[in-house]
Amino acid sequence: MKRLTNKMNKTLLITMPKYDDGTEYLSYYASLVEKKAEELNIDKKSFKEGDITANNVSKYIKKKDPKLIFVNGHGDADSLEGDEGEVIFSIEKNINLLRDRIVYARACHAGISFGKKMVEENNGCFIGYKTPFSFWMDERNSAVPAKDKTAKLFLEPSNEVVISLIKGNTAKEADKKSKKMMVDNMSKILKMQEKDEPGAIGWLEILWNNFEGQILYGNEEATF
Amino acid sequence: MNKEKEDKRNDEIKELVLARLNVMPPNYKLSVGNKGTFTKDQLIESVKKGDEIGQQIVLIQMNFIKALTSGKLIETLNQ
Amino acid sequence: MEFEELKVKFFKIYSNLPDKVRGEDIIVVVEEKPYTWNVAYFEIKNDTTLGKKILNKLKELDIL
Repeated sequence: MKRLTNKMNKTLLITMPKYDDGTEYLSYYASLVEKKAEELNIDKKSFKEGDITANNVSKYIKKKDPKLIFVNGHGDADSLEGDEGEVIFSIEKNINLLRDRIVYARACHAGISFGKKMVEENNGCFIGYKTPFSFWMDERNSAVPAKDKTAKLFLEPSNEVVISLIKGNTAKEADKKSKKMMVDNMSKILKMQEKDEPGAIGWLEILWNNFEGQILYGNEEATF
Repeated sequence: MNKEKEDKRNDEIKELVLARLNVMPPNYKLSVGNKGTFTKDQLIESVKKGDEIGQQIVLIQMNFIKALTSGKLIETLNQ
Repeated sequence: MEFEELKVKFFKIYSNLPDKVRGEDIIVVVEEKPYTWNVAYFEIKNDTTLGKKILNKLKELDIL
Protein backbone atom coordinates (compact mmCIF):
# COMPACT_ATOMS: atom_id res chain seq x y z
CA MET A 1 0.00 0.00 0.00
CA LYS A 2 1.42 3.37 -0.89
CA ARG A 3 1.56 6.41 1.35
CA LEU A 4 -1.49 8.64 1.09
CA THR A 5 -0.96 11.38 -1.47
CA ASN A 6 -0.87 14.99 -0.44
CA LYS A 7 -4.13 15.82 -2.22
CA MET A 8 -6.14 16.11 1.00
CA ASN A 9 -5.78 18.98 3.39
CA LYS A 10 -3.47 18.47 6.33
CA THR A 11 -6.33 19.17 8.69
CA LEU A 12 -7.33 17.32 11.83
CA LEU A 13 -11.04 16.97 12.56
CA ILE A 14 -11.93 16.10 16.18
CA THR A 15 -15.35 15.30 17.64
CA MET A 16 -15.76 16.07 21.34
CA PRO A 17 -19.17 15.11 22.67
CA LYS A 18 -19.93 15.66 26.35
CA TYR A 19 -23.18 14.15 27.52
CA ASP A 20 -22.17 11.56 30.08
CA ASP A 21 -19.22 10.71 32.34
CA GLY A 22 -17.51 8.66 29.64
CA THR A 23 -17.71 11.31 26.92
CA GLU A 24 -16.71 14.00 29.42
CA TYR A 25 -13.45 12.15 29.93
CA LEU A 26 -12.96 11.40 26.24
CA SER A 27 -13.45 15.05 25.41
CA TYR A 28 -11.04 16.23 28.06
CA TYR A 29 -8.40 13.91 26.66
CA ALA A 30 -9.25 15.00 23.11
CA SER A 31 -8.62 18.59 24.26
CA LEU A 32 -5.04 17.54 25.09
CA VAL A 33 -4.68 16.40 21.48
CA GLU A 34 -6.10 19.76 20.40
CA LYS A 35 -3.41 21.52 22.45
CA LYS A 36 -0.70 19.35 20.89
CA ALA A 37 -2.01 20.15 17.41
CA GLU A 38 -1.85 23.86 18.28
CA GLU A 39 1.76 23.49 19.46
CA LEU A 40 2.62 21.84 16.14
CA ASN A 41 0.72 24.46 14.13
CA ILE A 42 -1.61 21.85 12.75
CA ASP A 43 -4.80 23.09 11.16
CA LYS A 44 -7.71 21.67 13.12
CA LYS A 45 -11.45 21.78 13.54
CA SER A 46 -13.14 20.60 16.72
CA PHE A 47 -16.82 19.78 16.83
CA LYS A 48 -18.14 20.19 20.36
CA GLU A 49 -21.37 19.19 22.07
CA GLY A 50 -24.46 20.33 20.25
CA ASP A 51 -22.62 20.66 16.93
CA ILE A 52 -21.64 17.07 16.32
CA THR A 53 -24.33 16.19 13.84
CA ALA A 54 -24.10 14.19 10.64
CA ASN A 55 -25.05 17.30 8.68
CA ASN A 56 -22.42 19.57 10.22
CA VAL A 57 -19.61 17.04 10.08
CA SER A 58 -20.38 15.87 6.54
CA LYS A 59 -20.59 19.46 5.28
CA TYR A 60 -17.22 20.24 6.78
CA ILE A 61 -15.57 17.14 5.33
CA LYS A 62 -16.88 17.89 1.85
CA LYS A 63 -15.71 21.48 2.07
CA LYS A 64 -12.36 21.20 3.86
CA ASP A 65 -11.26 17.67 2.96
CA PRO A 66 -9.47 16.84 6.25
CA LYS A 67 -6.95 14.02 6.09
CA LEU A 68 -7.25 12.88 9.69
CA ILE A 69 -10.46 12.34 11.63
CA PHE A 70 -10.48 11.66 15.37
CA VAL A 71 -13.89 10.46 16.54
CA ASN A 72 -14.63 10.36 20.25
CA GLY A 73 -17.79 8.96 21.70
CA HIS A 74 -19.99 6.02 21.16
CA GLY A 75 -20.73 3.74 18.30
CA ASP A 76 -21.43 0.17 17.39
CA ALA A 77 -20.20 -2.34 14.86
CA ASP A 78 -21.64 -0.36 11.93
CA SER A 79 -21.55 3.29 12.91
CA LEU A 80 -19.95 6.13 14.83
CA GLU A 81 -21.84 8.66 16.92
CA GLY A 82 -21.42 12.35 17.63
CA ASP A 83 -23.89 14.07 19.95
CA GLU A 84 -26.03 11.74 22.00
CA GLY A 85 -27.90 9.36 19.72
CA GLU A 86 -26.73 11.18 16.59
CA VAL A 87 -25.05 8.85 14.10
CA ILE A 88 -22.45 10.84 12.16
CA PHE A 89 -20.98 8.02 10.06
CA SER A 90 -22.53 4.72 9.15
CA ILE A 91 -21.89 1.90 6.72
CA GLU A 92 -25.40 2.38 5.42
CA LYS A 93 -25.38 6.11 4.80
CA ASN A 94 -22.10 7.92 4.33
CA ILE A 95 -19.05 5.74 4.89
CA ASN A 96 -17.78 6.81 1.46
CA LEU A 97 -17.06 10.25 2.89
CA LEU A 98 -14.15 8.63 4.70
CA ARG A 99 -12.44 7.13 1.65
CA ASP A 100 -8.68 7.62 1.62
CA ARG A 101 -8.68 9.34 5.00
CA ILE A 102 -7.16 8.24 8.30
CA VAL A 103 -9.75 7.69 11.00
CA TYR A 104 -9.09 6.97 14.66
CA ALA A 105 -12.29 6.02 16.41
CA ARG A 106 -12.13 6.04 20.21
CA ALA A 107 -15.55 4.47 20.33
CA CYS A 108 -17.21 1.18 21.05
CA HIS A 109 -16.61 -1.61 18.60
CA ALA A 110 -16.62 0.09 15.22
CA GLY A 111 -13.59 -2.06 14.51
CA ILE A 112 -15.82 -5.03 13.94
CA SER A 113 -17.44 -3.98 10.65
CA PHE A 114 -17.31 -0.22 10.15
CA GLY A 115 -13.53 0.00 10.08
CA LYS A 116 -13.13 -2.87 7.63
CA LYS A 117 -15.74 -1.47 5.30
CA MET A 118 -14.30 2.03 5.45
CA VAL A 119 -10.95 0.99 3.93
CA GLU A 120 -12.29 -1.30 1.22
CA GLU A 121 -10.94 -0.44 -2.22
CA ASN A 122 -9.27 2.79 -1.19
CA ASN A 123 -6.09 4.02 0.45
CA GLY A 124 -7.64 4.93 3.75
CA CYS A 125 -6.76 3.66 7.19
CA PHE A 126 -8.90 2.94 10.23
CA ILE A 127 -7.62 2.51 13.77
CA GLY A 128 -10.21 1.54 16.32
CA TYR A 129 -11.44 -1.26 18.55
CA LYS A 130 -13.06 -4.63 18.03
CA THR A 131 -13.92 -4.79 21.74
CA PRO A 132 -15.56 -1.96 23.71
CA PHE A 133 -12.94 0.70 24.46
CA SER A 134 -13.13 0.89 28.25
CA PHE A 135 -11.49 2.69 31.13
CA TRP A 136 -11.70 3.00 34.89
CA MET A 137 -12.36 6.36 36.50
CA ASP A 138 -11.68 7.34 40.08
CA GLU A 139 -14.99 8.76 41.29
CA ARG A 140 -13.13 10.95 43.76
CA ASN A 141 -11.88 12.86 40.70
CA SER A 142 -14.60 12.29 38.15
CA ALA A 143 -15.68 15.92 38.22
CA VAL A 144 -12.13 16.83 37.18
CA PRO A 145 -10.77 14.35 34.60
CA ALA A 146 -7.43 16.18 34.63
CA LYS A 147 -6.81 14.97 38.18
CA ASP A 148 -7.77 11.36 37.57
CA LYS A 149 -4.51 9.39 37.48
CA THR A 150 -6.35 6.10 36.99
CA ALA A 151 -8.13 7.16 33.81
CA LYS A 152 -4.83 8.50 32.51
CA LEU A 153 -3.46 4.95 32.34
CA PHE A 154 -6.04 4.14 29.65
CA LEU A 155 -6.58 7.43 27.86
CA GLU A 156 -3.04 8.67 27.43
CA PRO A 157 -1.99 5.66 25.30
CA SER A 158 -5.14 6.15 23.28
CA ASN A 159 -4.27 9.83 22.65
CA GLU A 160 -0.87 8.65 21.44
CA VAL A 161 -2.47 7.30 18.24
CA VAL A 162 -3.42 10.78 17.06
CA ILE A 163 -0.42 12.54 18.55
CA SER A 164 1.91 10.17 16.70
CA LEU A 165 0.04 10.73 13.47
CA ILE A 166 0.17 14.52 13.68
CA LYS A 167 3.89 14.27 14.39
CA GLY A 168 4.28 12.59 11.01
CA ASN A 169 4.44 8.91 11.91
CA THR A 170 2.71 6.29 9.78
CA ALA A 171 -0.52 4.69 10.96
CA LYS A 172 1.39 1.51 11.73
CA GLU A 173 3.90 3.41 13.87
CA ALA A 174 1.13 5.31 15.65
CA ASP A 175 -0.68 2.08 16.47
CA LYS A 176 2.59 0.56 17.70
CA LYS A 177 3.50 3.57 19.86
CA SER A 178 0.05 3.57 21.42
CA LYS A 179 0.29 -0.13 22.20
CA LYS A 180 3.77 0.30 23.65
CA MET A 181 2.38 2.92 26.00
CA MET A 182 -0.30 0.48 27.09
CA VAL A 183 2.34 -2.17 27.73
CA ASP A 184 4.43 0.35 29.71
CA ASN A 185 1.36 1.18 31.79
CA MET A 186 0.67 -2.51 32.41
CA SER A 187 4.26 -2.87 33.65
CA LYS A 188 3.76 0.22 35.82
CA ILE A 189 0.65 -1.31 37.35
CA LEU A 190 2.49 -4.54 38.12
CA LYS A 191 5.03 -2.59 40.14
CA MET A 192 2.44 -0.80 42.26
CA GLN A 193 2.15 -1.54 45.94
CA GLU A 194 -1.12 -3.20 46.87
CA LYS A 195 -1.74 -0.88 49.78
CA ASP A 196 -1.53 2.08 47.42
CA GLU A 197 -3.50 0.67 44.53
CA PRO A 198 -5.86 -2.13 45.53
CA GLY A 199 -7.81 -1.98 42.25
CA ALA A 200 -4.74 -2.57 40.11
CA ILE A 201 -5.60 -6.08 38.85
CA GLY A 202 -8.94 -4.72 37.61
CA TRP A 203 -7.08 -1.96 35.76
CA LEU A 204 -4.79 -4.52 34.16
CA GLU A 205 -7.76 -6.50 32.81
CA ILE A 206 -9.23 -3.47 31.10
CA LEU A 207 -5.91 -2.25 29.70
CA TRP A 208 -5.39 -5.72 28.27
CA ASN A 209 -8.88 -5.57 26.76
CA ASN A 210 -8.03 -2.28 25.01
CA PHE A 211 -4.60 -3.54 23.93
CA GLU A 212 -5.96 -6.73 22.38
CA GLY A 213 -8.94 -4.94 20.97
CA GLN A 214 -7.08 -2.13 19.18
CA ILE A 215 -6.94 -2.84 15.45
CA LEU A 216 -5.66 -1.19 12.29
CA TYR A 217 -7.26 -1.79 8.91
CA GLY A 218 -6.24 -0.58 5.50
CA ASN A 219 -3.18 1.38 4.52
CA GLU A 220 -0.76 1.05 7.43
CA GLU A 221 1.75 3.31 5.66
CA ALA A 222 -0.76 6.15 5.64
CA THR A 223 0.58 9.42 7.01
CA PHE A 224 -1.06 12.71 7.96
CA MET B 1 -21.49 -30.39 26.85
CA ASN B 2 -25.10 -30.93 27.97
CA LYS B 3 -27.21 -27.98 29.10
CA GLU B 4 -27.08 -28.81 32.80
CA LYS B 5 -23.29 -29.03 32.78
CA GLU B 6 -23.07 -25.85 30.72
CA ASP B 7 -25.32 -23.97 33.14
CA LYS B 8 -23.26 -25.17 36.09
CA ARG B 9 -20.05 -24.05 34.38
CA ASN B 10 -21.53 -20.65 33.57
CA ASP B 11 -22.60 -20.22 37.18
CA GLU B 12 -19.11 -21.08 38.38
CA ILE B 13 -17.57 -18.61 35.96
CA LYS B 14 -19.97 -15.94 37.25
CA GLU B 15 -18.99 -16.81 40.81
CA LEU B 16 -15.31 -16.29 39.95
CA VAL B 17 -15.98 -13.00 38.16
CA LEU B 18 -18.03 -11.75 41.12
CA ALA B 19 -15.24 -12.65 43.53
CA ARG B 20 -12.78 -10.70 41.36
CA LEU B 21 -15.11 -7.71 41.17
CA ASN B 22 -15.65 -7.73 44.92
CA VAL B 23 -12.05 -6.73 45.59
CA MET B 24 -12.34 -3.53 43.52
CA PRO B 25 -12.47 -0.48 45.79
CA PRO B 26 -15.88 1.23 45.68
CA ASN B 27 -14.56 4.57 44.40
CA TYR B 28 -13.86 3.28 40.88
CA LYS B 29 -16.33 3.39 37.99
CA LEU B 30 -15.93 1.65 34.66
CA SER B 31 -16.81 3.26 31.34
CA VAL B 32 -17.63 0.48 28.90
CA GLY B 33 -17.75 1.46 25.24
CA ASN B 34 -21.15 2.90 24.41
CA LYS B 35 -22.90 1.16 27.26
CA GLY B 36 -22.31 3.79 29.90
CA THR B 37 -20.43 4.11 33.17
CA PHE B 38 -20.89 1.65 36.00
CA THR B 39 -20.03 1.50 39.67
CA LYS B 40 -18.66 -1.68 41.20
CA ASP B 41 -22.10 -2.51 42.62
CA GLN B 42 -23.75 -1.99 39.25
CA LEU B 43 -21.19 -4.26 37.58
CA ILE B 44 -21.83 -6.93 40.20
CA GLU B 45 -25.59 -6.67 39.61
CA SER B 46 -25.08 -6.95 35.86
CA VAL B 47 -22.93 -10.04 36.17
CA LYS B 48 -25.52 -11.64 38.46
CA LYS B 49 -28.31 -10.79 36.01
CA GLY B 50 -26.26 -11.89 33.02
CA ASP B 51 -27.24 -8.82 31.02
CA GLU B 52 -25.17 -7.36 28.17
CA ILE B 53 -22.75 -5.53 30.45
CA GLY B 54 -22.48 -8.51 32.74
CA GLN B 55 -21.62 -10.75 29.81
CA GLN B 56 -19.07 -8.24 28.58
CA ILE B 57 -17.36 -8.15 31.98
CA VAL B 58 -17.23 -11.93 32.10
CA LEU B 59 -15.67 -11.98 28.63
CA ILE B 60 -13.08 -9.35 29.54
CA GLN B 61 -12.07 -11.16 32.70
CA MET B 62 -11.90 -14.61 31.13
CA ASN B 63 -9.82 -13.22 28.25
CA PHE B 64 -7.46 -11.74 30.79
CA ILE B 65 -7.16 -15.02 32.65
CA LYS B 66 -6.49 -16.77 29.35
CA ALA B 67 -3.75 -14.23 28.61
CA LEU B 68 -2.20 -15.07 31.98
CA THR B 69 -2.38 -18.84 31.66
CA SER B 70 -1.23 -18.95 28.05
CA GLY B 71 1.74 -16.72 28.84
CA LYS B 72 0.60 -14.17 26.27
CA LEU B 73 0.51 -11.31 28.78
CA ILE B 74 4.04 -11.93 30.04
CA GLU B 75 5.31 -12.42 26.50
CA THR B 76 3.81 -9.08 25.55
CA LEU B 77 5.30 -7.31 28.55
CA ASN B 78 8.72 -8.76 27.81
CA GLN B 79 8.81 -7.71 24.16
CA MET C 1 -6.42 -35.16 32.71
CA GLU C 2 -4.54 -36.92 35.51
CA PHE C 3 -4.21 -35.14 38.83
CA GLU C 4 -0.42 -35.00 38.61
CA GLU C 5 -0.65 -33.56 35.10
CA LEU C 6 -2.94 -30.82 36.40
CA LYS C 7 -0.43 -30.00 39.13
CA VAL C 8 2.40 -29.73 36.62
CA LYS C 9 0.28 -27.52 34.40
CA PHE C 10 -0.60 -25.29 37.34
CA PHE C 11 3.02 -24.95 38.48
CA LYS C 12 4.13 -24.10 34.97
CA ILE C 13 1.57 -21.32 34.67
CA TYR C 14 2.27 -20.08 38.19
CA SER C 15 6.03 -19.88 37.60
CA ASN C 16 5.44 -17.45 34.75
CA LEU C 17 3.24 -15.05 36.64
CA PRO C 18 4.37 -11.66 37.96
CA ASP C 19 4.51 -11.39 41.75
CA LYS C 20 1.67 -8.91 41.92
CA VAL C 21 -0.65 -11.22 39.99
CA ARG C 22 0.29 -14.17 42.17
CA GLY C 23 -0.47 -12.27 45.33
CA GLU C 24 -3.60 -10.37 44.36
CA ASP C 25 -5.35 -12.04 41.45
CA ILE C 26 -8.25 -14.25 42.53
CA ILE C 27 -8.17 -17.30 40.32
CA VAL C 28 -10.70 -19.67 41.85
CA VAL C 29 -13.69 -19.91 44.20
CA VAL C 30 -14.18 -23.13 46.13
CA GLU C 31 -17.15 -23.56 48.43
CA GLU C 32 -17.85 -19.84 48.16
CA LYS C 33 -14.34 -18.88 49.24
CA PRO C 34 -12.06 -17.00 46.82
CA TYR C 35 -8.38 -17.89 46.49
CA THR C 36 -5.47 -16.10 44.89
CA TRP C 37 -2.77 -17.82 42.86
CA ASN C 38 -0.44 -17.82 45.90
CA VAL C 39 -2.89 -19.54 48.19
CA ALA C 40 -3.82 -22.02 45.46
CA TYR C 41 -0.10 -22.76 44.97
CA PHE C 42 0.40 -23.42 48.68
CA GLU C 43 -2.56 -25.81 48.83
CA ILE C 44 -1.67 -27.64 45.64
CA LYS C 45 2.01 -27.96 46.55
CA ASN C 46 1.08 -29.45 49.92
CA ASP C 47 -1.39 -31.90 48.39
CA THR C 48 -4.21 -30.75 50.63
CA THR C 49 -7.87 -31.63 50.07
CA LEU C 50 -8.48 -28.01 49.22
CA GLY C 51 -5.63 -28.14 46.73
CA LYS C 52 -7.32 -31.01 44.91
CA LYS C 53 -10.63 -29.16 44.86
CA ILE C 54 -8.88 -26.10 43.46
CA LEU C 55 -7.29 -28.13 40.67
CA ASN C 56 -10.59 -29.74 39.77
CA LYS C 57 -12.33 -26.39 39.68
CA LEU C 58 -9.60 -24.86 37.51
CA LYS C 59 -9.97 -27.76 35.10
CA GLU C 60 -13.77 -27.45 35.02
CA LEU C 61 -13.47 -23.77 34.11
CA ASP C 62 -10.87 -24.52 31.40
CA ILE C 63 -8.38 -22.35 33.23
CA LEU C 64 -6.05 -25.36 33.31
